[in-house]
Amino acid sequence: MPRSQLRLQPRTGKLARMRRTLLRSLALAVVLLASPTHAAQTYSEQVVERTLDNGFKMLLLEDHKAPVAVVQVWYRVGSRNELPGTTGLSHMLEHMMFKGTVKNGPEEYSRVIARNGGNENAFTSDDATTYFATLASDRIEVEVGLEADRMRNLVLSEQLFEPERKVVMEERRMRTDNNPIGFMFESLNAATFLEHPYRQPVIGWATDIEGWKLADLKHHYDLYYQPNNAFLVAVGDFDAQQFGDLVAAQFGGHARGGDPPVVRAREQPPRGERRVAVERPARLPFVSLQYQAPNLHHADAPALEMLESVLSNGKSSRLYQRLVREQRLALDAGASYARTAIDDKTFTLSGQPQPGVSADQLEKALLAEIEALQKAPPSDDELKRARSQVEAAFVFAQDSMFYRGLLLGTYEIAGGWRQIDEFLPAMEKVTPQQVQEVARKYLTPINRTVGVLVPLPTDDAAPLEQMPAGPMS
Amino acid sequence: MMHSDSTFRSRGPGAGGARATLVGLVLTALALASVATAAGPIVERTTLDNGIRLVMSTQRSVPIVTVNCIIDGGARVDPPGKAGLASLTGSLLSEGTKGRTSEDISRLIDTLGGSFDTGTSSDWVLVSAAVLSRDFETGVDLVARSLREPTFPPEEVERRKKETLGELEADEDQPGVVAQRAFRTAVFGDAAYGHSVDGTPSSVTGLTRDDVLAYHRQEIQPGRTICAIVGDVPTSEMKAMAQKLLGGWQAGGAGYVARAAQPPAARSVVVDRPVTQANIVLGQIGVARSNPDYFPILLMNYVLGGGGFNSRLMQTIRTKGGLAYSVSSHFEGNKLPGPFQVALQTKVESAAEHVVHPIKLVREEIVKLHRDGATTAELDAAKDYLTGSFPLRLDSTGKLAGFLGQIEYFGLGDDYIERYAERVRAVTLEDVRKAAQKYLQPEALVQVVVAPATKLAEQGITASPDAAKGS
Repeated sequence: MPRSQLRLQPRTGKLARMRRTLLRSLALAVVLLASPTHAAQTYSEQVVERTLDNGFKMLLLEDHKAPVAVVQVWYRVGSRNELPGTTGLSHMLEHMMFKGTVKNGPEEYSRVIARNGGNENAFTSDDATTYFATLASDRIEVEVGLEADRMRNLVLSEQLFEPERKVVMEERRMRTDNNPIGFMFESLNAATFLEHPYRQPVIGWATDIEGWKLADLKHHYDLYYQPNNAFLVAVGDFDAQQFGDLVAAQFGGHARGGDPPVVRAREQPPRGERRVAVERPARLPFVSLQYQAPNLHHADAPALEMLESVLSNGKSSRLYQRLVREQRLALDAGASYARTAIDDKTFTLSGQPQPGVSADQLEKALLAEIEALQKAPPSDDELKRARSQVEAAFVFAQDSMFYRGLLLGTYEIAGGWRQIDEFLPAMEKVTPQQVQEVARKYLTPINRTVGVLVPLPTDDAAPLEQMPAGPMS
Repeated sequence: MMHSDSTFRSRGPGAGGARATLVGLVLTALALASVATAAGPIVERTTLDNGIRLVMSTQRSVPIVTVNCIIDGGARVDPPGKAGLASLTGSLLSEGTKGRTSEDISRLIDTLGGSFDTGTSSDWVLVSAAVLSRDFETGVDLVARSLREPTFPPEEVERRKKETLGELEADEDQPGVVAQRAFRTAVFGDAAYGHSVDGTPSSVTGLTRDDVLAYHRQEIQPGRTICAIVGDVPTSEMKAMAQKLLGGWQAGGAGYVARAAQPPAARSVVVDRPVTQANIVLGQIGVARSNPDYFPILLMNYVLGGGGFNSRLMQTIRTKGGLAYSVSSHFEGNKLPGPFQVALQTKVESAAEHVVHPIKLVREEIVKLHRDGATTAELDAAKDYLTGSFPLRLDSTGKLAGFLGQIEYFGLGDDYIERYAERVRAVTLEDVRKAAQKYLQPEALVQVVVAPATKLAEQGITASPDAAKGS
């Protein structure tokens, strides 16, 4: 499952129900982030890149289909940059960024954007923290000014910090502690990665959330919220030269900061299968097979992407056709390749068993699908479908300025936005044999970590005190 | 992961994306690129001889086209004892048509790289295709065959039934969904909107292929169908294609009758679950989408809990109190009066009033707005947001197609988009005060809490004697 997606921690949220289409569409979401088309203009031809003396970069893409623009400010910091004991600081800081600056009071940011008819929000992932607003294009100056202000002038006080710590604890209760599948994935990630901070949850461990000090947060802010550790992406109805000058005027006044610490951790390949079983009150089990896999910088990335697509892109894909429809073992099943992670990450297959089917049965069925691809390459027809979906998805993504911005920002974080243009041509060259080869190379027992949600009865309510992540404070 | 990505919540009144996929949610809820100008898109309307209403708009910016057909009915008209029938029928429209199996259909759409979905809401069945504009005919053809000649293969009926039962089971692991279901049942009972669109385990178990055939015969008809077509195709071609593939469709059944609910008395429902965070829903029957006070209600609700961080509930419960991650209020404007509700989640702890306290704060805010109305500053802020952000709600072909379909469905008028801002600005403080007094009934709130019953009892929260047992 795309963790760059699934671990986003937006500032506001609501419970979303799981849909049977969800796992299948997760694959598509990643593909949407992935694919240029040879037919259309390349991003390199369209994007204006400028870097200020203080190191602040901007990526500006004119798109004049409507008098609207999206502005996103990306900071190169997420849970990947955090340390044991203070996990979750990046996400907490994201919340605090709405609490006001020297010049603007608490929540003033949201008030001003709303008064200008804009929609704003923010999200944090393992790799980055992103703030964004969509507005009428004649109002984007407002957003640029507010972002430039809060990059360096945030007010962090105990008075604002304490209620927000409680809010984040509620967010954790909602996303993780009372969501059995979310809870399982948290444990699975911690087992998949022993050395790399990808083992840490974006929202932070409950005990860490309880223990944060205001000084931790200030330190985090000063270390990472510097012009040389951030960049701005804008897509919309503006003149790139003129808009760039405006951004330069607003952000150019910040002095260049120190270089943030480099994340040096490198996960070593596992030498045997690991298994995690998580017991939570739940009606249905869940199973996930997580394999370590290289990111987009590796030559195998295009074939891994096609492998993901053959397995789970569209209703004609293998996992849906075989496990959901034919064998009726899963309510849903899907695959997800974390191609745009900064460091090498994962290729994951997951599924929720139908009632009456055990996690073990579904695990075996998922393994059988892997073995089938290791024994014989996918058909030309399958590969053709996978390709046309990716190409079309790229065209559909152009319908959304926000999504184009997300694409640019995600690639810039992962190693450079210009790589967007390299991806589709590389995928065009992938052969069925190469898909088979990467299945053999990466989807191996010793490279695997299995996560299983073991349901406990929900009717005779297990006492709260026995639950690992009970109420804090 | 299933819980997080779709969690972006647009700050304005819910526009409601039809597609429930992750991509759909990310794209629609996040808002963004726009195909509409301030003046509004150019829209053409026509009615085919068989009664299908077409709403069409050419948008040239991206070579794609969306075809959205909605057929009035939906879960609202599920016959007594057959909750979930509309949803089962709707989901089966893409699982086999004359000469094409379910797998044929999946392969066809995946080969094109488009999407083809069918689904059901409280008020309608939706059949929708989004394709590259070069594949326009195939897109309309998929939609037309699903409406006109679905085959409902017996094995697909059984498979979908079993899947639905599984999905209902999976939903039980989501306390927020459990709370919503219990709330609907408590407010609407056996009447329209009283059950989940998917039905209940016992009702779904009892559904048969004959029921599905009957629903299709009774409800899926051209006279009840609105098709919105938006994208990179001339409207003349849109109309010709609809005429060619849908013009010959003849069907007519009496249809099922929806039963409107009687307003329930105040009551408390407790659903016992071993969770560490209580899911709370408070509300009552709200208004129909066609209510003449729609705009005053919209502004009033923005002030209460529809305006994200600018709303009173968010300020009181989250910003000041740190009591919840999300809290919002919402009027769901349906064909018949739909729910009004406030929803939030807060931690459960014994020996403290951790659930009682936020509920009290929510009730106080409702009482205050009911009694005093809003302030000028609040009203101005709400107007600025709603008028300024309106174009962002029409900012993709898919969203525009959905919006145009709803304008037609609810009979909001051909000038709805053009006059939206003017109507928002015309609302006065007095209008808002009257709307709050008329449509908020603080004494008649139905309250649902999903949490460990023993912990709730310690805080004095118990079920009313008459309250429906929560699931």
